[in-house]
Amino acid sequence: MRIKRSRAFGITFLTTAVMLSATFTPSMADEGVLTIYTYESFVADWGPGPQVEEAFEAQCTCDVEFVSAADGVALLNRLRLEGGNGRADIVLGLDTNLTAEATESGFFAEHGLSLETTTVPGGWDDSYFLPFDYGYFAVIYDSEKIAEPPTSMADFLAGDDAKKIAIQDPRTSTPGLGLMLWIKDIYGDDWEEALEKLNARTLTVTPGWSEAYGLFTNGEVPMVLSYTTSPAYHMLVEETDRYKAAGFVEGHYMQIEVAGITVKGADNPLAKQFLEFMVSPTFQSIIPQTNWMLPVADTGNELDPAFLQAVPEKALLFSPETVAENRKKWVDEWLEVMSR
Amino acid sequence: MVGGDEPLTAVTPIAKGLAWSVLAALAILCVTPLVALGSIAASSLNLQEAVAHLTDPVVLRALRFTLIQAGLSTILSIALAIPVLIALRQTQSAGVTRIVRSLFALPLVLPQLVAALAIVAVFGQNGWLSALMDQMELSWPSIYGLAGILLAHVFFNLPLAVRVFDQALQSLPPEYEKNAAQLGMYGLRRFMLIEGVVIKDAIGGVATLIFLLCATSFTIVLVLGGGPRSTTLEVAIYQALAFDFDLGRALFLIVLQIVVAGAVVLAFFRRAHTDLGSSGFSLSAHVDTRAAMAGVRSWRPGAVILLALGVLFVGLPFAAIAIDGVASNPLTVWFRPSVMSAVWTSVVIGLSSALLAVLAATLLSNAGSGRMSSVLPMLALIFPPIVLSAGWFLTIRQYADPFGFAAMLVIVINAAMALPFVLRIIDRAFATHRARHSALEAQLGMGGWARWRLSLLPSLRLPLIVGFAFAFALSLGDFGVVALFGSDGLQTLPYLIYASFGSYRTQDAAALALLLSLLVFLAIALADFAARQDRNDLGARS
Repeated sequence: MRIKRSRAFGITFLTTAVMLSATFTPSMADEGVLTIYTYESFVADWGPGPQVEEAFEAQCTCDVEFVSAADGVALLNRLRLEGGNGRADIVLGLDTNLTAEATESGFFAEHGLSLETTTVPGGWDDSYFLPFDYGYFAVIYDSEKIAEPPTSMADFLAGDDAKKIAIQDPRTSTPGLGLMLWIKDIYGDDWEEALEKLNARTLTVTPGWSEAYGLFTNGEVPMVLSYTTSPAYHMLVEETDRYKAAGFVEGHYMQIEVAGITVKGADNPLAKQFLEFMVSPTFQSIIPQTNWMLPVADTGNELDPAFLQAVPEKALLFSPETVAENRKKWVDEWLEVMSR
Repeated sequence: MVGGDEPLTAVTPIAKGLAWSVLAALAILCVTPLVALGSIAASSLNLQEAVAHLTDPVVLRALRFTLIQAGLSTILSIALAIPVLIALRQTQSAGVTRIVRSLFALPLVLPQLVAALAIVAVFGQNGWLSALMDQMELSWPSIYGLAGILLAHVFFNLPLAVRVFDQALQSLPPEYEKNAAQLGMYGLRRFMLIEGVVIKDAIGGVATLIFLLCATSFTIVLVLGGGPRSTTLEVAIYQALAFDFDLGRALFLIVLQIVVAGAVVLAFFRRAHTDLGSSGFSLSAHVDTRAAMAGVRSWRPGAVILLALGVLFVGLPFAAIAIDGVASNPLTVWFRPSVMSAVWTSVVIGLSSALLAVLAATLLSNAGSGRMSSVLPMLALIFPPIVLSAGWFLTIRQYADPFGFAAMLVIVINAAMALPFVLRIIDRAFATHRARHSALEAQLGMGGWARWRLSLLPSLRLPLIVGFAFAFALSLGDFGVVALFGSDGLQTLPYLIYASFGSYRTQDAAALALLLSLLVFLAIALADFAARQDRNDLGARS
């Protein structure tokens, strides 16, 4: 699909007219096509998208069409800009910080599926969205520079200010929001002191995950906020165990990634079929080594132990409603302390 | 439209009409998204809320910081560019000059993420300089904070200023330099009397450009700013639009940014802008000044050191990119089908928008370099890409599937973003041409197409080529517009770089960043080569 489009590009360049007529050519009949909005790294060559598409098309004899936005937040905004009149049958890639607003938007229909197969920690009972993977936020450290990693959030916050961390901004980044909620969950109303300590521990606050992780891998900082599954990438792809996840006794905050059927998609039988496929072993076994997150259901075989570093006994998570209600207020408090 | 001097041949109504059409198209491009967003936000827009935003300490702090960092960045970039420029002008070696010119075209084109990491690799707390200092048992200061932001902005804009000034100085007639040499004027004194005048004239435009680029800086400000202390309005706009989806607040912040930046631009410009058209500098007469001057000018040690410092400052981060790139098996990455296809997409977008930008700049310059045609295109830089793409998305989807228009929109927006740079480059050449040749054109009754073919294009080929290459390079490095328009099918090289970074694939990203830098270097070097051929042709003819 992608390659076809970029070829169409030459035409674009040559004449606008061709472009215009191409745009108005009626698209393929909706029958047999499933349109999935998702985030970009899902459909990248190395992401789960290509394998998922192939596997599902083999069993549904239909055409899966991915449309991508930058990230989960951009996905929801795309829906809002479209006012519910978009092409999506399924939106895949929101997380639990967004589901309350997404449900409220009225763009989604109930999935009507059994929730038994999902094994996400803390259980799952959302009638609109179904999880497809999850992860725990964690402090990842460079073992060549840090010999004694912190074993708790308290330990980490009180740590050596010379060994700093790169974190992300909760105003622009999902992991950034995750760290903020993690600290809020542990310290509650008394989180100001914790934030002050975090401020002292922080080298810089980046707009997205990529910048912070880039600073980490190019050696500028010995610690970064990422996921417990990040070391698995370095172990399985780069064959190094230099980067490790620090397990915290207070527990780790979770991110659960979900998919839902749009109101338009409710009329497309393929949509429900896809969500069932999504929690099947075929889809779930693709997830770990393409999306570098944990599966939410049986994958049919043992998960590589690389994925189980620092997996906590206690999973922390605010309800979507709590996040939706308080996010703005908490971000303002975070901003106030971190700006000192 | 016309500034201080009236050319002998009046600007034809057609030329004026075309220039106005370009400005109108630009206005439509920028204002439509605001209207579209406004119509959605209409229900939540009220005066009370606007007042509340205006007294919001977060907004005020962001506004103040935006102005301070952009102002300081501009002053520093220009103040440091001038010594480097003087040193560059003293260089005898054409090879050195060419390499410096190509190198100095690179920074502005780098995706911000790549630039930030490259700067950190050299100047960061575990960077090369820090390691060097450690060996000498000295401590290296932390760059995170205002210092880091200024460092990065000077890295982006010092080379830009040098290039634009250098381009302006190309219009100096050789007689000036000969006379100066005969009068025994060297160094600073000569510079003040000759180059200084040209630079003083060009400074307003360059300063405005740099100010706007820095005022709307986003990734650099967050990464090197060290934390939310360093928040610009652009960050607040992004937050309001993308994360909070608070269209009313987003609109308010955009309008605030436009008003404040616009006021600064106008103030800047009123002071600095004077039309130089009447001074009659001739580009075509500047055949081979350097050869003529050989033996007169000496290659001073001070200049060598200055130029070396400038080249190191700009070059070291690229050395970091090159070292990382070479170490990550670039050849296996470059020839992947997805990469080849992204290069092709980038090049097609780049060529299309460069063509459009040069065309628009030509039409504007042809009608005279008035204040409107100089200032308005710059104002387009204030509009955050996310606003343009979200607004146009809303507008187009009322009539058609917006994704079908993504490519076209990216090309048009990239062209609009490159236009002020191209204008800086070709505007003066037009003025010069008009001052020198319009009388002759009028005498010969030359007009319309004949004037373009026989008079204008031959003498403007050089700046047009340089402008085209610059616009191409800018578009090649653009990420903002492509990213935010959502992209299935529109995978450019910067897009792939970001995607690789976003999926742990820092090695791929390093290889791709090297590829992007090489492509841009090549494009600029080619343009330089073509321009040199052009000069040789002229030399042979005269």
